[in-house]
Amino acid sequence: MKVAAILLSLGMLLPLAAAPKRLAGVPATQCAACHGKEKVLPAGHEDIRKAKSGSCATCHTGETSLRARLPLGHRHALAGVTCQDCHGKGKPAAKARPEACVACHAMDALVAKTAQAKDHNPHADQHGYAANCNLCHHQHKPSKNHCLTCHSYNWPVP
Amino acid sequence: MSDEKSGLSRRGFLGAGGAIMGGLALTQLPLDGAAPKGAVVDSTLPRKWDETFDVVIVGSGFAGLAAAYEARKAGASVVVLEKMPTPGGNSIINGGIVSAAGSPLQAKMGIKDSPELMAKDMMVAGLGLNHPGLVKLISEKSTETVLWTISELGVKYLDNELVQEGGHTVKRSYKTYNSSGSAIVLPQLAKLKALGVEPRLETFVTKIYRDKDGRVKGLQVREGYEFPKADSGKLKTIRARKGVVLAHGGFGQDVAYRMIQDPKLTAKVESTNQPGATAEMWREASRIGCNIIQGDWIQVGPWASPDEKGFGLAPHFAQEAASMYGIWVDATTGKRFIDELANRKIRADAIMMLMNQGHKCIAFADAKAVSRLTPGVMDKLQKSGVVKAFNSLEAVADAYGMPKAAFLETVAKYNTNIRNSDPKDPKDDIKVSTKLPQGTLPLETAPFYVSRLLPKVHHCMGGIYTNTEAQAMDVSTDKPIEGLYAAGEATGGVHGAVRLGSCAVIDCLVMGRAAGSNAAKAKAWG
Repeated sequence: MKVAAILLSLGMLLPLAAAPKRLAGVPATQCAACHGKEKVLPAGHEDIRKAKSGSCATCHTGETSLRARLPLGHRHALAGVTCQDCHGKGKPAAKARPEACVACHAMDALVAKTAQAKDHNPHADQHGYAANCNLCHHQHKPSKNHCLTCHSYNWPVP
Repeated sequence: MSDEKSGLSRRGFLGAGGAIMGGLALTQLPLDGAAPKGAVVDSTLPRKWDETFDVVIVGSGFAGLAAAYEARKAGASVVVLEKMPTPGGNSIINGGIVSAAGSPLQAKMGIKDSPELMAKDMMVAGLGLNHPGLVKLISEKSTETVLWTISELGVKYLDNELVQEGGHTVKRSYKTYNSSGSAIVLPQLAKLKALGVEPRLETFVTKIYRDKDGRVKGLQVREGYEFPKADSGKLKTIRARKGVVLAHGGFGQDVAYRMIQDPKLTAKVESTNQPGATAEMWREASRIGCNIIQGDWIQVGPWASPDEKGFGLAPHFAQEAASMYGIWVDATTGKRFIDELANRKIRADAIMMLMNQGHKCIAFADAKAVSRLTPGVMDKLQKSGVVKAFNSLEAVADAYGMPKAAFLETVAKYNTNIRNSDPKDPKDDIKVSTKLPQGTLPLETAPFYVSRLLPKVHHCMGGIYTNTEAQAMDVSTDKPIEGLYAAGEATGGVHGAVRLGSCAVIDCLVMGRAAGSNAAKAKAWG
C-alpha cells in the first residue's frame, strides 16, 4: 500500500515539474539525463538507474499500475519502446504516424478493450476519428479527450 | 472599367502606390512573409514555390472532397488542405440527409416531385435572394448526384425512408444509414486515398497569391498548424498550376466575424458547428477581390437542444419525429406556437422571440412518431437525457410546468384534425405551409417523448459569389477570377435568405464536383 501512496504522490508531482529537455536515445531509467537534479521519483523509490527497461511492471501491477499515472511517453520508454520505434530513423517527424501505434496496439483489440466504456465506445466512433491516435493520446504532453469538443463523454485518456 | 483588366488596373494602381510610399508599405507587409496585416494589395509571388500541384483544394468537407475526387479522376495532381487535426469539417458531423428531386426512392414511395418543384421550394424559402441559375443546376443534378454517391462512393442510405425537412413541399431527402454526414465523408476519404490523395491536416492557409495578371497562382500555408494558434506551424508555399478551389466552409463559430454580419449573434448564441468554422478564409477571399454576397443571412437551427453540445442528436427527434409527425409546444402556455414544417428561420425566430419573453419551447412526439427514426438514435437520446419519455400527457405537462388543461386540449385538437382528414392527405390547421407527410397519425400512443428546443447558429447562406461553373467572381469586374473556384458553404447565392434542410449537402456535392472537374480542365500557367 505504501507503494500506491508513493505512486500517487508521483502522479501529483509530475504536472508541477517544468518541461524537461528531451534527449533521444537515453534509457527512461536515467531520469537525471533529462530531468537534471529535479526529483521525479517518490522518496524511498528503489534506484532504477540500473533497472532494465520494461522491468517496472514486475512491481507495478494491479493498483500500482503505472497506467494514467505517468505520461504516455514515459510508459512507452519504460516498456522499452524507443524514439525510433514510433518516429522512424533519422530526425523525428513532427508526429508519429498512427501506423506506428497500431503496429503494437491492434485496432480491433482496442475497440474490444473499450467496448464497455460509459456512453460510447471511444474507439468505435462514426466519424472515423479513432483511426488518428494522436487526437487523444499524446506522448510528450498531457493526453486529452478529443470527443469533448462536441460531446460530453467523460473518459480517462491514458 | 468594364473589362477584367480595368478592375485589375485599380489593383495595379494601389500596388504602385504602395511602392511609392516605400517604407510605410514595407511596415505593412510583414517581413516573414506572413499574411498581409490589412487589405493591402500584395501581388508579390514567392521567388520559389515549395511545392506544386495542378489543383489545390482548401477544406476537406463534402465540397472539398468532391472537388478533389473529380479533379484527381480527371488526371490532375491534387492536394487537399485542412487546418484542423481531423478531416471532414462540419460535413462529418452533419445530420446526413440529402435532397434529391424526382428520385427512384420517391417513385417507389409514390411521391411526385421534380427539379422545378425543388427549385421553387428553395426560392420560396430563400425569399428570392437565391441566384436562379445555381438553384436550377443543383436541383437538376440532385438525383443523379445522390445516385452517384451510391454507385461511385458506395454511400448507404435507408431503403424505405425519405425525410421532409421544413419548407420542402414533399418528402425528398435521402437519409444515411447512420444519420450522419460521416456516411458520405468517410467513403469520399477512402476513395480519395485509393487515388493517392489524403487531406493534409493541420495545414492552415495564410495567403492566396493573386498575381498582377489577375490569376490566382497559389497559396501560402502554415504546416503543423495547431488550431487556433495563429502563428503555429511553418510557412510554406504551394503553387496551383491549374486552380485553387475554396471549400473552406462557413464561419458559424467565429463570433467576431458573425457579429459584423449580424450583430445579434453574440457569444451567448451557441452554434452547431465544429470549432474550426471560423472566418480567416472569408477575410482572405475578400482581400484578393472575391465578391462576398449575402453574408448576413446566417441560419439559426430551430431544432437544437440546450441539453447537449452543438448539433447533437436532438434535431433528429425534434425534426424527423416531432416536427414531421408530432407538434412543437410553448411550455409556458401549453399551446402550439408555429407551423412545425415552416422553414428554419420562421421557426427559430419564433422560438427566440418566445425565449426573450421568458417562455420555454418543447418538441413533442408519441411512440409511433419516433418509430420512424433511424434505429439506435432514440436509445442514445434517452440515455443522454436529451429526450425524455413519459407514460401520459399529464406527466409531460407536469415535467415542463405546462398548464395541463391547455396542453391536453392542444393535443386533442391536433388529433381531431388528423383523424378527421383523409389518411392519404392528412390536414392540420397549424401545419399549413406544406402538405403533411403521409402516415401522419394522431398523437395517442404512449410513451410520449419530449426534447427542449434551443436555436443554435447553424449555416452561413452567404459567401463567395460564383457562376454555375463554380468559378469565383471578381468584385470589380463581375468576371471569373482566373484560377479560382469555390463551392459549398464558402459560397453564397444558392440558398438566399433561408437554406432548406438537406439542401446544403447536395449543394456541396454538385458544386464541389463542378469546381474540381473545371479546375482540372483549366489551362495551366507557368
